[in-house]
Amino acid sequence: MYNVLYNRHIGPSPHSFLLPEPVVDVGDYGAILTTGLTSGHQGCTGCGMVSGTNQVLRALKLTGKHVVASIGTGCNEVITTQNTSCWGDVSVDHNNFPNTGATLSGNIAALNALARAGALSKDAFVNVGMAGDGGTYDIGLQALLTWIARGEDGIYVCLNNQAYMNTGIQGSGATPYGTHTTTTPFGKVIRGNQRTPQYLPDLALAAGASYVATACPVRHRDLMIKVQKAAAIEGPCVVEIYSVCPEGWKSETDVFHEITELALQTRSWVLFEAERDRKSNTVLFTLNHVPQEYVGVMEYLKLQERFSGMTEFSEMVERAQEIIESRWSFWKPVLEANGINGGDRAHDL
Amino acid sequence: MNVLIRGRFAVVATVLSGNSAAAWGFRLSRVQCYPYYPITPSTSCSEQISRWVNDGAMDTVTINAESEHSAASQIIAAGKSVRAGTATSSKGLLYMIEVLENAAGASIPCGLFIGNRATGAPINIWGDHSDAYAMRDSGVIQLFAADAQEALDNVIQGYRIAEDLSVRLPFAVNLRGFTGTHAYEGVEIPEPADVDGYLFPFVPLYPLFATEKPVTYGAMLSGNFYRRHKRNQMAAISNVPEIVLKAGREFGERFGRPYGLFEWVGDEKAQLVIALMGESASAGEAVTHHLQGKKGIPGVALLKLRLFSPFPAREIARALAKAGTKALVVFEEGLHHGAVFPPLAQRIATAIHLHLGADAPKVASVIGGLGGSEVRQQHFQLMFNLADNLAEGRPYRTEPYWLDIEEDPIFAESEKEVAPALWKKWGEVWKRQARKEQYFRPLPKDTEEIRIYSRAGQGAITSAVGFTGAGIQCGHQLLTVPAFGSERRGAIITTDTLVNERGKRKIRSFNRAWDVVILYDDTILSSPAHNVLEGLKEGGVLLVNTSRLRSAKIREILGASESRVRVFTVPASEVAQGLGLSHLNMAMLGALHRVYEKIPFEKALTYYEKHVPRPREASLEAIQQGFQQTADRQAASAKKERRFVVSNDFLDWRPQDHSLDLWPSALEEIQLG
Repeated sequence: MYNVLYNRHIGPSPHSFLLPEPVVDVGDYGAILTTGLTSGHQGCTGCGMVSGTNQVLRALKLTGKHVVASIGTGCNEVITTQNTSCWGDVSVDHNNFPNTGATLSGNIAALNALARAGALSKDAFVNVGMAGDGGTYDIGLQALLTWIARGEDGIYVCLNNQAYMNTGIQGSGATPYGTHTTTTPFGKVIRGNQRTPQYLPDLALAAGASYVATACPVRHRDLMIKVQKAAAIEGPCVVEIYSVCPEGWKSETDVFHEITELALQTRSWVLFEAERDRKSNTVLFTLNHVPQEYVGVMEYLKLQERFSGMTEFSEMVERAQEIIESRWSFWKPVLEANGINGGDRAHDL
Repeated sequence: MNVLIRGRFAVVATVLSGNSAAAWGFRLSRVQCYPYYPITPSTSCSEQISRWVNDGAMDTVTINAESEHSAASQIIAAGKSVRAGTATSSKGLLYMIEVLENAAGASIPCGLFIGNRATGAPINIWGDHSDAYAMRDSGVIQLFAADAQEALDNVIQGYRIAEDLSVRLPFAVNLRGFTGTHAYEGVEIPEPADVDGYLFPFVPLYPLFATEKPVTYGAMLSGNFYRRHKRNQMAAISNVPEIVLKAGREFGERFGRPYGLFEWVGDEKAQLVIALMGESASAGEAVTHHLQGKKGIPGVALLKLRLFSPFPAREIARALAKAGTKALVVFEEGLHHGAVFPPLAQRIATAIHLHLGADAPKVASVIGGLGGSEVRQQHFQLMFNLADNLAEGRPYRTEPYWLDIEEDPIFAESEKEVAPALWKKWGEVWKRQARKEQYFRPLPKDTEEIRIYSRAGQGAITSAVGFTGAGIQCGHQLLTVPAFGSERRGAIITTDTLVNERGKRKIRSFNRAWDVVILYDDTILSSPAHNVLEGLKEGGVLLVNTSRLRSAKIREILGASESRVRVFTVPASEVAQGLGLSHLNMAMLGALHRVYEKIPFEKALTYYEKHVPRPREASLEAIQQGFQQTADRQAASAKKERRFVVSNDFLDWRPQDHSLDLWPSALEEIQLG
C-alpha cells in the first residue's frame, strides 16, 4: 500500500524528485552519440527489442559507468550471443530463463563484496538485468519480485513483446486479450487469449520498487531519460519497454513506428513513470504522453494479424477498448488538472 | 580445552554438528557471497553463517534468497567475481540442478554443502543419497564426507580443487542428513591463518566487474562450438582426481589429516570388500575392525569413496587388483530407477570390468539406509557374509539386494521366509547361500552409550552437547546424535551419546546397548510407544527426573529387578523452578555426572563454566544441585516432601489404543505419596 500522488506536468522530464540534479538529457539525437550493441546481431528485421536494448545500453554508457548486464534467456540473449557476442564493452552474464532477478542479485552481491574488500569502487559499475516478458511476467516473476523486495541497487529492464517469441509465439502473462498465439489460437470455440495481461508496473510497485517506468523505443529520448534516472536512483528500478515483434505480431517489418505510435495513440501502451519516496510512502505518478485525439483500439488492432480474428467480433474489440479505458481511468486527475477531459470515455481527449 | 598437538600446530577440538562444521569450512574459506534458502537437514549451516555475519564475525555478503533456484543462480552469478557458496538438501538440490549445469558449463568454481536427504514422494526428511545421485550428471565435483571433521575439511579442499586452474568447476560436499549433519562431535577447527596459507584468495579468471576486456558468459553455441566446449568441460573434470590427491596430500601436510580419492579401511589384502560412501561407513568400520584377522575370515576391507564425481575408475580398479579382491559388495543409499544397478554399483562395475576384465572381482549391489533407515553393524556382518558367498563362487543376484525387507531377505534359511514370487525368481540363489557364523559373532562393546528420552523443547540436546564437550575436554572421543523428526514440541524424542574412553580409533557407530538411560520426564514411563528398558544393559542405570516416584516404585512400574536396572531419581524440575530456569536440562546434566563417573564432575565443571547457556550462574548452580540431589533408593526413601500433586485421573488417562494391551498393568498402580 502506498499513497498515490500525481504529477501535474505531462511529458518526459530529466528531473526526478528522488534526484538532486536532473539526469543528462541527450536530446532527440542523443541516441547516436554512443554505441549500443555492436553489429552482427541476429534480430529480425523490424525488431523493436533490439532497438530498445541499444537505447538502454547507450543511456547507461552515457552515465560513464561500466555496464554489467545480467540477461535472461530469450530472443535478446539468443540473437546477441550466438557463437559471438554483440555486447561490445558491456560485461554480460547470461544465466538462465527463470532467474534474471536472482542473477542480478548475485552480481550485485559480488559487486558489494568486491567493494567491501576495496577491490573496486561500486560507483564505477551499473548492474542491469534484462529479460523478455515471459522471463519476467511468468517464469521469472518470483526471482524478480524478491529482488525488488530486497531493495538492492540495480535496474531491471523488461523487453515486452507480449508473448514467448523465442520459442515460437506462445501466449505469456503479458499477452493482450484476444491475441492469437500458437498456444492461444483463435479458434472456433475459444477465440484467442482469454486472459487480460498482468501489469509489471503494478507488480513492481507492490513489491517496493524505487522507480518504475514504461517506455518505447520510438520515443527514444524519453526511454533514455528513464534508463538514466533508473541508473541514478537508489534501490531497485524497473523499466518496461514496448517491443514490436513483426514475426510474432504478424505485422509488416516497416511499420515499426506506425504500430508503436498507434499503441500510444490508442493508449494500448501508456508511457508513464512512478517514483517512490520511502519516507512518506508516496509514489509520484507522471504521465509522459497524452494522445492529441481519440483513436479507437481498432486502428491499432488491424495493423497486426495476431488480432485479425478478434477484429471480426465487435464485442471482443469493445472488451479490448474497455480494458484500455479502465487502465486509463487511473490518469483522470492528471488529465483534469491539465484541462483535458478524460471522462467516462475518452472521446474528447 | 583439549589441545591436540598435530604437526606444528596446537589444534583445539570443539564440539560441532556436521552443519556447523560445514559452516566453519565456508568461514575459513573466506566465502564472500553466501545466498541461502532453508531446507532440512542442511539449514543450520546457513543459520550459523547468518549468525556470524550479523554479529560481524564473518565478512560475507549474504542473500536471503526466495528459493533454492535463486540461491543457486546467485552463487553462479557471484561466483564469476568472488568466492561463493551455499547449502541445501533434497528437493532444494533438485530445484538447483536446473541452474547448476550452468555453473559447470561456464566454469564457475562455486561451492555447495549438501545435507543428503531422501527426495520423495513419499515425502521424507531423513538422510540418504537420492539428492546427490540426482545431481550427478550436472558436471559438479561431488565429494562425500563421513563425519563433521571431513565436512569442514572437504569444504576448504573443495574450493582449492574447484579453483585450480586446470579444473574451474563447481563442487559439492555431501554429508548424510541428521546422522551426519546433526551429529555433534569433536572437530578440530584449523587456524584461519593456516587456511589462508592453504587456500589463496579467489582469483576470477574472466572477471565480470572489469572495465577492460569485458566478457559475455552463457553465450549460445551451435553444434560445432558446443561439442568442443563440452569436450573441454569433460577434460577439466577429468583433471579433478589428480588435483584432489594433490590438495588432499597438502592438506595432510599442513593440518595432519591427509585425504585421498577414497579410503581403504581394513586389510591390505582384502578378498572381501564393501564399497560405500559417506557417514554410513561408521558402522562398517566397527565391523571391519572386529572381523579383521579373525579365524575363518579372509581379508576384509571397506572402500570408503570420497570422490564420487568424477569417478576415479582407474584408481579404484587398481586398488582392488592390488588387494587381490575377489568379491565386492556395493552398499548404497539411493536408487537408479530402471537401471541394472544403482549409481555407485554401476560406476564401480563398469570401472572394474573395463580396467580388470576377466580378473575383476564379482560385484553385488545392496540398497539400504533409504529415507533415514538406520545402517547398523549387523548389516555389514550380513554384507561381508554375502561377499564371502560371492568369493566362493556361489550364485548371486544380478539385481540389487535390499536391506531390512522382511519378505526379501539377503539370506533365508527356509522358503517360508520369502515372498513366493521372489522365491520363484531367486530361489536357487537363496538355496545355495551359506550363512557363516564367524561373520555374525556379537561385536565387542568398545563404547559406553547414554540415551536420553525427553520431550521436544526440554533442552536434552543442549545438555548432551555440553556433556560431549566436557567429555572431549577430558580426552575421550564422544558423539551425540539426536533423533530428529517431524515431532511437535512436547513429543518424546531420543538423544544418544557415545563415549569412546581414551579411544585411539574414532568410533561413530552405536551398539545400541545403553549404559545409562535418562528420562527427562516421568510420564515417559507411561508412554505406550516407548520401552525405556529396551537396549539397557543388564545392571545399567535408569535416571529419572521425578519428584513423586521413588526408585522402587519405578522398578515396580517397569517390572524390573534390582539386578536388571539401577534406578536413580532427581527432582530436576524442582531444581530448575527453584532457580528460575525455564529448562531442567542443566539439572539433568549434573545428575548424569552423578550416575556416570567416567567423566569426572570436577573436570567437567571447568568446561561448563565457560559453555553453559545463559543465565550462566543459575545454570551452573542447577548442574551442581542436580548432581547433589540425585538419589538412589536410600536417599529417595528419606525424602518425604512432594511438591507436585498430579491427580490420579491424569496419570490414569490412556488413549483408546490397542497397543495399550501390551502395556504393563503395574502402571495403573501409580500412587501419590
